[in-house]
Amino acid sequence: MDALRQIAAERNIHAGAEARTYIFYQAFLTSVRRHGRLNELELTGLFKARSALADVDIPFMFKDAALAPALYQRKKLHLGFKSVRDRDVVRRIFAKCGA
Amino acid sequence: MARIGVFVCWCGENIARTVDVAQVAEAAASLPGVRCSVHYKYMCSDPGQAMVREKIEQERLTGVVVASCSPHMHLKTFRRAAASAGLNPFLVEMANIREHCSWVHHDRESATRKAIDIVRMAVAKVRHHHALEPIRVPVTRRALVIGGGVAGIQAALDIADAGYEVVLVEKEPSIGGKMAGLSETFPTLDCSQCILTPRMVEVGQHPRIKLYTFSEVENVDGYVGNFRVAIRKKARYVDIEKCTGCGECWNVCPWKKIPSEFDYGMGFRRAIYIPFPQAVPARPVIDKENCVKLLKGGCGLCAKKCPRGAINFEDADQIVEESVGAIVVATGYSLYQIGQDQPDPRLRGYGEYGYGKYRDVIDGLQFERLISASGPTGGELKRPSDGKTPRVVVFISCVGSRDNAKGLSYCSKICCMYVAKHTMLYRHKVHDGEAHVFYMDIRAGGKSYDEFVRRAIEQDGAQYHRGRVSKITQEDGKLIVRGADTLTGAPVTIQADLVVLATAIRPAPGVEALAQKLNIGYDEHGFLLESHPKLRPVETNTAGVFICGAAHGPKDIPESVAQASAAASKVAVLFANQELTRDPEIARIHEATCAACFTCYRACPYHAIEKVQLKHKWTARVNPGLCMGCGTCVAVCPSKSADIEGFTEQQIYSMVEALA
Amino acid sequence: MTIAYYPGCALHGSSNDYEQSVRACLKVLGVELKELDDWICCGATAAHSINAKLAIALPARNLAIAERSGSQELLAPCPMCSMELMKAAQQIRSDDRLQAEISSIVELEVTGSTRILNLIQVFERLDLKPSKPLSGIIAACYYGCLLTRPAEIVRFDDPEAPMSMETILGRLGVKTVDWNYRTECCGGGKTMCDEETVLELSHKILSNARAHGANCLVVACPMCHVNLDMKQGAVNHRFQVRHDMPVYYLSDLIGLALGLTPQELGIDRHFVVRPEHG
Repeated sequence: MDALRQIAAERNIHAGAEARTYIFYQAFLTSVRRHGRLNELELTGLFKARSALADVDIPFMFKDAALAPALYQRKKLHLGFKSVRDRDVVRRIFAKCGA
Repeated sequence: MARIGVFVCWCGENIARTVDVAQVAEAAASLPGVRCSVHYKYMCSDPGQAMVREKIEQERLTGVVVASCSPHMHLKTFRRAAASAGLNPFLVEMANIREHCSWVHHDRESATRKAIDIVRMAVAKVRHHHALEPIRVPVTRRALVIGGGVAGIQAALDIADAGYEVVLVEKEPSIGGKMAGLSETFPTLDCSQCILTPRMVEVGQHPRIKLYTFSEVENVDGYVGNFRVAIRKKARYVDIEKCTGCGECWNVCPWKKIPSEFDYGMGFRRAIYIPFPQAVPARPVIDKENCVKLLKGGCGLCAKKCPRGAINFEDADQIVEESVGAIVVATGYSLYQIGQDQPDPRLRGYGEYGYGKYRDVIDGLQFERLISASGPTGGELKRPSDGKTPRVVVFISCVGSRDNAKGLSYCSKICCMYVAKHTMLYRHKVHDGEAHVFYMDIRAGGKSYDEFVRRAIEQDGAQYHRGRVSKITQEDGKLIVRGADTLTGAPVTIQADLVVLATAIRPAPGVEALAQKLNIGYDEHGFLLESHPKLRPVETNTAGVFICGAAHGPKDIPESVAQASAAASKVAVLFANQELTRDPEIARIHEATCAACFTCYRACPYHAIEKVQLKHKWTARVNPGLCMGCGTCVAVCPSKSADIEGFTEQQIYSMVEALA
Repeated sequence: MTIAYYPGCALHGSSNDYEQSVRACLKVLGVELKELDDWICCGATAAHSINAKLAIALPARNLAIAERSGSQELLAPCPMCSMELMKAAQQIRSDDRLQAEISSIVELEVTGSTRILNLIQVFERLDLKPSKPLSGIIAACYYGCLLTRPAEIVRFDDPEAPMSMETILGRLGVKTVDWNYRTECCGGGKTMCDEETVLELSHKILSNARAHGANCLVVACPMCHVNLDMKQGAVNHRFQVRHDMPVYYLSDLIGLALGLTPQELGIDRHFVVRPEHG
């Protein structure tokens, strides 16, 4: 299954409903490439922005926004995110894998 | 002085198109030892053979080389021709200039040169040929049949009807095998027991069949025509000579809730029991694992009730010896165990189907007993869990078969047919019931088989879904079956009352140990190996041992019966003469030079070497009844004392030298 | 006992209540956690769906760090992380050429010799003696996908009918139920990009647990927790029901049985909380 997904990614073939999933994964990896770990706020922002633009679906950007205060209240929203110390090696790993 | 005749064949265009046959004949004429060299269009034809015979007589030939096709084709033909002209048939050699030359090359010049070389080597070999006589081995014209299912029964009847005595050994208390437990058989929907029991009775009453039931083969010694078999008669605790099968004993036995093997756990039996009413012999046996008197003492009600005093609690296993000339193995099959506990670490079971966890998930043989008129529910289909009539039944094909991930890669052949049969029998009993089948493919290749499956679908309303079932769970007494329908592309969920799994066919347990006693091969799944899958399906590589039925591989009743008769005919061929004639191209040990290291004894795959004590030393000696001429002993002998007649080392060396 | 510890992105992100629970519970059991130095993301679903090499390299970097720290074993409480780490380790162990290539990519020598443990396996080794009876808890143990699958990689428990959580909870006197959705998928990481599927799957899981008599779920995966707890409100709204099913991490129930407070374990930070735990 993964092989099919990887080939689709290489060839930029993304069927309707799954197009959002692909945007999500790309946003995920963008964040990891930058920080070495996943920055959830950055992921959310990137994903919402890119998919809203892709589908011209502005309301999508603001869905789940209601969760933000609930998460903050439970101390699950981290505004002060810390990257890994050696961010460069992560960038190099991504580059060497062609990602 | 060698007087060799060379006969070069055109084989129509087959050889002559590529090889200059006339030139080959001309070149052969000048080889040392060659008296005459001719060519002809079709050497194997009548005039061709006549030519060979003429030249043998005219030229007083001492050896013949036929340069034509493969010896597999016509060696026998030319040997017979030579023999009829008075020349020992083993002084004939074939030089293959067809499969080894004209059929694989294009260039006429080099092909012809190669053909001449091939003939040259053959002539060199023939110069060192010895006349050989076929080997004669005495034959005990009695047969042993192991297994009393439909295949064993058929083989035993055929051999006995041909006039020979048969010893039939069956490990269960009665013959009949799996077929005795089936309800109805495809494609005719004949009642299984109705068509089998007459045969069973015939076996029981046949003057030439000696029946050992509740017995197993303990040991086998000897070789084709001369086997000595030790049979263990397990303790029955009932004297079958005195017993009349009246049934007083099992009617009083207080232990009534022992799961019945014959009903595959769907019903019960007593500690003293007869497996089914039509058993042959119709005599009970006491289950020593569950009889209180045998385990601890006390009870003994059956013995007290028996009017003939046939019960003997002092009984013990007995070993008897039988001498036979041929053995037929018909040990049948067993079903794949679906639970996670597998006898073989390569198999993983199917926990997702809930077999063993949910009482209403059963296998095919259990379903047969539930719908059988003589079954534990009297032919009324009742759910094992609550006894209610199931309104929705799901049948799942290919459970365990065709699955490389969990270990059994093969197709079990009969399931597609019996699943269709099950849907029909179910719908005949429950007219408003729903029958669903989850399948991958439908294999219905026999006579009227495809029509049978179509009947199940079109006339009896079975609903077929092409896809596999992923999981079975239970909610509120219903079995939730989740599968897929790949033809519509949608998942399918069915709330079933009963699920029947078509599990893989496997060989009977313990068959591997038996195969080792008989020195026959079996494959990685335990199915017995035939000598050649196309042309020799009922023979094994051990002379005198034949196989038939499901022990060889999954198959249905008509095929099992056909194979059984085939095995019987092979036995009849073996028994046609008082002596067995074998090809003399086997190994021979030169006893004068043999150092008795017995490397050959250890290397021989057919156990054909014997250790013999001579007056002044030991020597290895080849048993001409068993040797297959493989040449392993020749290869391993450090003193070069072993050689193959017809392919001696001297002959091989001379062929090589002739080329050089 | 000291054990090397790989939290993964979720446990340091919005699932930090899981980390709080794990740390608190293991602490009273005498287990010290040594976090891997400068660990990186394991790649999760995103990596293996898009780039095969990256999917091995990212976890491999962490394996190399673990090897260098001298630890033979590594606890990864998130089953996605533990599965990816095990997969990378297995592939590297079985292919010398791959081992050399990956070592070069991650710029550290990696052999794949580290043994990866999930949270359940750590608890299985410990002597658990309950100090407080947990009354009123009837738990449905939910394993999700990655604790027992792919079976050839994780080789843990029975992929069709796992019982490891039930066994541990049984030792603590916690009542568990037999139900039918123990290994069904909750939607995993698709919470944001395919919410509809997640809600549907979560609804089935919550419903079936309730139907079999449970009044709460027990999980050992942060993604499952998010889909069943944080999203329970959305499930309720979507399907017009009120599931009212608290979702506990395994360490939550064990911690409570050992006498820890809900606040110490972070239970008060869940979305569906029983009043006495809030």
